[in-house]
Amino acid sequence: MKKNEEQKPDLNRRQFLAGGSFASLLTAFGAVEIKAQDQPEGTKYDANASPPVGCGLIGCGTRGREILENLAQLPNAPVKGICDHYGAYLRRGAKIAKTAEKYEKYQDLLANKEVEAVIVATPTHQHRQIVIDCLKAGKHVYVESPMAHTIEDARAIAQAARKHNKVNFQVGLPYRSDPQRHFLNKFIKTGVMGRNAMGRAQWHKKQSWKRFSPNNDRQKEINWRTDKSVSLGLVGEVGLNQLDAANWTYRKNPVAVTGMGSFIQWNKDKQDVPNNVQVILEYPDGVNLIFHSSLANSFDSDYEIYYGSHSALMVRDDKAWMFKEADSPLLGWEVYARKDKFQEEEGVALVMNATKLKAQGTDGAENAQVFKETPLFYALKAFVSNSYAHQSAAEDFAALFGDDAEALSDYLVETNEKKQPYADYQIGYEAAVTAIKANEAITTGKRIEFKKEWFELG
Amino acid sequence: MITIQKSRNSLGALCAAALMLAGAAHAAEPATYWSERKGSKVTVAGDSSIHAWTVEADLIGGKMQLDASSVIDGKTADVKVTPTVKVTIPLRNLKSGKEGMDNVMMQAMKSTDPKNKFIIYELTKMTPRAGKPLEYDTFGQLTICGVKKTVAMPVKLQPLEGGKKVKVTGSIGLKMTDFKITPPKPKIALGLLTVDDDIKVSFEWMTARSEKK
Repeated sequence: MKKNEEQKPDLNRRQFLAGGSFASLLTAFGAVEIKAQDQPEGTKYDANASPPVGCGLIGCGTRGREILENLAQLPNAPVKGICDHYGAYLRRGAKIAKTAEKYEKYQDLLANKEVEAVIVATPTHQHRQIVIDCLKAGKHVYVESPMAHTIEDARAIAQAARKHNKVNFQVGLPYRSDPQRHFLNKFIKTGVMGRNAMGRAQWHKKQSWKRFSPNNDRQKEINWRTDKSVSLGLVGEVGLNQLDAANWTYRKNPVAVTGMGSFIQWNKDKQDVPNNVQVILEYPDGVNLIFHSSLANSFDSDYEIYYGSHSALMVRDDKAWMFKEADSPLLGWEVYARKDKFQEEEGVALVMNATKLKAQGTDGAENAQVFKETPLFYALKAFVSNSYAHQSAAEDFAALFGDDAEALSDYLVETNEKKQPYADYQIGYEAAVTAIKANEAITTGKRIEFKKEWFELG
Repeated sequence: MITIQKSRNSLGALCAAALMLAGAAHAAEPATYWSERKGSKVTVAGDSSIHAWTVEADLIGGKMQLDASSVIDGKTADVKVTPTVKVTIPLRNLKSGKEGMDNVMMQAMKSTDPKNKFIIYELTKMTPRAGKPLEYDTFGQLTICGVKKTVAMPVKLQPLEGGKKVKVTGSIGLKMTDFKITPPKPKIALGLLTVDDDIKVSFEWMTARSEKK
């Protein structure tokens, strides 16, 4: 997900509600909060990090610089090189990564042997060639999502990642590395929600994606997100994480998608992507997920709700609440859990490690610290740690058993299970296909049935 | 053991002698068993001020040469070839399943130092245990973090698939400080966690017979 580049910081609804006002609001309505517990002091990444992996960044726009700021928090991710062909972005990046070498051409960054792992944060339509060149250069790769704006490009990237398996490859779907999301998914798998009924996800923010530059070429370049020939619009550039979260929650890919889009926030230009979209993703067994996103209104910001026959689960930022139906089975623990009110409903807070915290004399539900780190932080942390682990495994295996590519490949697949959670090329590819077709449904106004082979890499 | 009875018949004696030689030659034939990619495991178990812990590795490299027939037949007294064994275990392959603990361990063992990359074991002596087929008392040189020590360790051989494979198992108690490893004292929520010096290393090493690898 790329944030709106060069946008003035707006008064985020989430920030406005921070400080307890939203939590208080929910409490007043009786919702029960579900949130993850921070890592215990002393076992945090900064105390016991894996050995360092030299990092490089290609693309120093707003998202790229956010990545640099997150990397700077990791003790094992020294940034050795940054690249952007636009001088102003490169200079801004250098203010964060002060000791990194600066490059205008990414090929020069790839020639730097100190750069072992590369994060690609360029516009989506530029990913394909850059990522493949990174892989060929033997660099570990983290590519922002969506992987690509066409299925052809996404497939080429995923196939290249599969082929160059001696290096670690991760797609920037940060929820896949977020401990809170993993906690919730395990919780959902227990069947506590009953039968899946439907879902809803939204991303609302009042802003314009239009940006201005005195240079016409530059203006066209920086407005790539509004250019429908290369952009997947709201559903791909900001909604993808939520669509992927739905695929993950339902453990299935969608079977069909319908979409609509309109132009509300800025004047319609025939080249523009819609800035107000609604999508219905159909999953097997009659489960539908409605996604709506707008740049015209920020009300209620972004969250997801999954509805089941026993309960509904609302996921918002790093918190979640369960709203039980009156006839749903008694779980037991929810009697003691914190409950917050949301309108007329009462929800149960889901707190990771709540029982352990209770045993340690800490009331998890009341005092559990909200994660200070964002899903992006966890995704990058996983990338650096996994890159080291992947490289170690490949080297050690070769030292013991020689350069048997097939055996090495098998072994590396096994070791993937021991990595910190992340979005691999298959997950990233399937998410990209979902977004690409959802955007196509919006732009064509047609219902599209997903073909099974679209999700297959071949 | 093949017992040869004396015979007055010279032809019979010749045949018997030929059989004996053939049998002896077969019995003493050295066979090389190489590490199998799968089926091996090293477990290191220890204790601490809070809880017991284990780490495991699933990569063991190396080979052993020994008298294949004695293994197949289970006749430990007939080890006619002095076994040679060299085993290599990548240090970084030891994993607990908890990243924080792994990193603490690797830092304590200075895993990034190239000379510490592998744990190496070389057999120096192997004697059968009386009355216990395929069990041996061994002595060998164990190198961890660049520190070499002579260690004594009982091991068992288990022939599989008619001798095509041999699984070697054993375990040994060690002290970290003997290898100049300072037991880690990581900070945790409840204060300092102190790791005990004593550890137990157990292994299952799966090997397969092959002339070349």
